Amino acid sequence: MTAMTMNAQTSSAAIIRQLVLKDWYFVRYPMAAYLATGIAAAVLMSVPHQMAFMIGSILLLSVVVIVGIHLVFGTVIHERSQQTLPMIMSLPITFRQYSVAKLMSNVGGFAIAWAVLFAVTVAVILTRDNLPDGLVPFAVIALTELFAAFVLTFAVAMISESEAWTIVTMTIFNIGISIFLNLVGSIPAIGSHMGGPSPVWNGTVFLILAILGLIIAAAIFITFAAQARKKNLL
Amino acid sequence: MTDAIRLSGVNKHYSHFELNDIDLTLEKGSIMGFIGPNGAGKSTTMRIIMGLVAADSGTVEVLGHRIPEQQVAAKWNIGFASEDMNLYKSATVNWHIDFIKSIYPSWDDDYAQLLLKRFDIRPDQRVKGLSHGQRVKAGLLLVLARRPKVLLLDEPTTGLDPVARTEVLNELMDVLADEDRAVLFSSHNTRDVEQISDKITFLDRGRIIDSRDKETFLDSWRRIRFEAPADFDMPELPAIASSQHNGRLATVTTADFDPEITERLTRRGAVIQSIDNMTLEEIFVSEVMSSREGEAA
Repeated sequence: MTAMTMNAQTSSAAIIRQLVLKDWYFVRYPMAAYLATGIAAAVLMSVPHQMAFMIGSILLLSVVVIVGIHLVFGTVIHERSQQTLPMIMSLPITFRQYSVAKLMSNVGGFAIAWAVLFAVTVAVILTRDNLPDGLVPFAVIALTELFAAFVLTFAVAMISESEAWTIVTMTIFNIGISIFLNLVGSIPAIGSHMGGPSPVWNGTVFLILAILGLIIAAAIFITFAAQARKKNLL
Repeated sequence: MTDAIRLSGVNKHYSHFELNDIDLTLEKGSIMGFIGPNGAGKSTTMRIIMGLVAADSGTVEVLGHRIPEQQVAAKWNIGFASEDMNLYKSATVNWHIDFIKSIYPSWDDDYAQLLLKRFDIRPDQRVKGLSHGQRVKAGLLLVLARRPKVLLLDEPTTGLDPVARTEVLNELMDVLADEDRAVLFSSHNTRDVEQISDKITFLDRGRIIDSRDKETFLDSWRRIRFEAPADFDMPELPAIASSQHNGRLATVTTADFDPEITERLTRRGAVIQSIDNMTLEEIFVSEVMSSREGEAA
């Protein structure tokens, strides 16, 4: 590898890093607030009262959804609607590098917040006596479904470059969450173990998680494939 | 010597607009004014040069790099400012400076500080608190302080008050002192272009209708006013862009003035009243009208 190529690659990686940091800079305060609210929601879930558990779990799910909405709108949609994209695209980057940066700032940023909330939620369920440990697989599926919904929303925002289509997608997924969770809960292989004393990781749980994992991978792949075909970047 | 910008046979089709067969060459050290009415295709051409929009056909090179394939290598040396390019409202000017500086090793800190003073911009101020003129100047600062070899300025003075416009144009004149730097400056304000450009290209309805040195434009165009006798028969005249009669008074504009024109008119009994130079704006309007009449015919 020539020195020039190495320099070019270093520059490319450095620019992607700067673009990611730039995106995170603009969402840093809301993200910190959402994270704090999410941790508070998980703690609320552990209060030995049915209403507290309900409010806590709804709040937690809402926080995860809002984190995704804020990231996609704050870093993808607004960059186009507020016409800051021309400045970014005039930098020495390709559209592919721009897409990599967006993927890292969005999916990476969401994954960090999601992982913290995931860990706190699982820890709360496992450590509090009033919550059955059998709830863990259901909680993991619910949170993974939110991850998949976020990645799909991100993909629609990147590919369509449309605020309207992103809002439509988000709305469909938000309405779909409760339907999805009801469906999952009604599957005997999952629902019958939710109140149990220990988590049951059976084939049905793994199958649902694998499908969600495939949806996430496919959404990322399709995003890059669609971005690579675009000829007009503005 | 490598040209700074070279476009050859560039076409771009949209459902509502078409850029047709654009040939354009800008040598290093040149300043080209790119003049056209709104919707003429100036921004589309600039975006094609930047690699932000891909041409349907034709070739584009900037500093010897093929666009869009080698756009990254080219963009290290291009400074692009456009009227529809916004800064981040919630961030300060200083944040933008740090951001751009982190990307361009060529960033000139001293020059950036100088521009902050000249443009009267407070670096700790958020962009949303800046006036339109200050935002434009801040954007220009971010472009100029990276010392690019090619400047693409798409309507940079649009919407500026006279003071801000003068500040921007003065700074551009300073920038142009660098003989290796090439500038493509688009505007529908011919006065701004006339002030700083040494070459002029007129664009209308997606076509280049003329492209020459500014001095050639100004030297060759004339408006001839004359009094014509009642039975006046207009002779065949070369390069006539337009001719008008109002009673006995008549006016012809020519794109290539030659004393032979007035001699021919005089031989037919016309009494020449004045031969006037034309402003760039008048030349531009005449070119556009003449081109459109040609299309209609």
